[in-house]
Amino acid sequence: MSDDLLECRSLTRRFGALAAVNDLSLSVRRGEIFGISGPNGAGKTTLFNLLSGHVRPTSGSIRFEGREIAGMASHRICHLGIARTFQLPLVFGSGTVAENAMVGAYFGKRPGVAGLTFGADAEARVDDALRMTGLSARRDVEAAQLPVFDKKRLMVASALATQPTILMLDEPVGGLNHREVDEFVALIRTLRETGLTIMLIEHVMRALMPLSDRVMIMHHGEKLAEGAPDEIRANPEVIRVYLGREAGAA
Amino acid sequence: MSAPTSRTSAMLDRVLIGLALAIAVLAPLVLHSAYWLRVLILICIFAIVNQAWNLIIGYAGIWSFAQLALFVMGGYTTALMSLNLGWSPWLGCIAGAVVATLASMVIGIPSLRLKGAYVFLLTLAFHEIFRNLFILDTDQRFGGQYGLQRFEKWNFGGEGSVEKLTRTYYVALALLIVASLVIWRIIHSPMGLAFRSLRDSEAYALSRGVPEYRFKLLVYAISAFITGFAGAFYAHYLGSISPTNLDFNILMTQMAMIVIGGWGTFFGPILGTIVVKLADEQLRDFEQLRTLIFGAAMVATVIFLPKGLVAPLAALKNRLAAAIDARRGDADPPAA
Repeated sequence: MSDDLLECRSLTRRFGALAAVNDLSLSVRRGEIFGISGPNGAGKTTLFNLLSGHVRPTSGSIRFEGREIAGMASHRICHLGIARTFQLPLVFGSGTVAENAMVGAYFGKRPGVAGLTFGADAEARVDDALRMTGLSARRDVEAAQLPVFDKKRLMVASALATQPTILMLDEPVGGLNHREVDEFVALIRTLRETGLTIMLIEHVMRALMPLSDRVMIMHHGEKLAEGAPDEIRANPEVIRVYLGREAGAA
Repeated sequence: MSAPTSRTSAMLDRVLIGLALAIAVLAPLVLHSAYWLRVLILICIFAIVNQAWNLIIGYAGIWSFAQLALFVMGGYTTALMSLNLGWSPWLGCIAGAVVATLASMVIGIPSLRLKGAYVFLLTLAFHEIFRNLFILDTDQRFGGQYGLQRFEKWNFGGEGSVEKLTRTYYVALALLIVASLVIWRIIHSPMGLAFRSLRDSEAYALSRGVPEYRFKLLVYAISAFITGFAGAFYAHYLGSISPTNLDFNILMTQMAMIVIGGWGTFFGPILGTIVVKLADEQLRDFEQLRTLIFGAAMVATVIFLPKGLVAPLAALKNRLAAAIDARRGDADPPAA
């Protein structure tokens, strides 16, 4: 049990009559890449919103490192060590690349009040995060001006700057071309080697399957299947609902 | 703001700020008249108010229109302290700042859960309630429609009205410089980063650990403190304070200043205050029509110069810097 970093029990979120996430239980182990996929509207992003505190659960529990975090404010969840990216590139647009990373570096682990200077530690975390994501050369560019690929990398950089224990990536390679997908996959591999636990929502199977240690397929807010990538590919239910025959055979 | 600047551009900034300060300091010697000194003093006071307003609207993106209410509250506080308790004007300024800060918490807390236009409506309602509170004050504790008069006016020494006003002007200018330095420091500190990131995307800032409510209340408090102080200073300058300071056309003129100057920029509100106040003086013959003129000027600015009058000036400065670099054959690589 000590390997379970994050554990959800009977997690439910209803929007009116719709149960976006319905009685979902899962556990994420320290150091693994936990892949999540499923048809549109399956509740994947709602699950992330619940875990990151952007949406409150209707019922159920979320335990992170043994502590109950369900319903906690987003910034406190970040302080505890869970950082996420967003499906649509969401950045602090008028800030530079370095300032975006600085938000994470300065506030990511700070429950107290803000000082007047940023400090060398935070500056070092910004440099590290930008180097790791390959954005060092663009540190003075206004974030709103960046192409999609760079915005997506910047979301990862500012998340890394918070020094998270778990990084949640919401469709990191959606909308990218093949070369960019490959680069992103390489980045995620590098991150995992640093000991980071990663939860990865992805539709693009050529990114999801080779990266994930375990994959969960969601459907109508529920868990349809969970297992190693090979088991998932062969699962007849997953093929019927989601992958289709071709992808299942690939 | 924090766009990359070359060394030449930064040097030009310093030259221009130095030049502006020199003009501000020498202005009374050239414009040796009581009329012009009064205009200059008001420019300084309104520029402080606009700097503080820009901090909350421009940098934090919180559409608070309680600004004049907080300004007038500072004025009433010091007037009451002066009339009833015989407090000195400076002590009254501190009291005005503190009362305005507390009042901003009363506005700030309910507005925390609102966004955009709803914050505007709530704070404008506060402005109106406050105005009516003074006008309908039947037992005359606040002087009703006429407000409070005959309390201590600033006296910084000097012989004759021009000399007296010159000294008052230098004090007001010093306050403007101090307020601007404080705001500059805040904008370029982690606090400023929190304000700006929350303005651009709350979801983003929250997910990176920025405590939203704490920083929203903080920006209300800082802005209100400076505004309340300025309001008290203004009351002691006129020796009176009344609900007419909350008239709609005054709110509009104040808004024209930050919009035309350029909100969300550091120098925009100061430039806008100077331009609009001078225009206001030149257009005195138009009386009520001035509000209409400033309204039209605001609309035109929003359409043609969304970042205000400072934007073309900043562009001009950058071109000048580039030209200087080119002539020097500077080895510095161009920015961006």
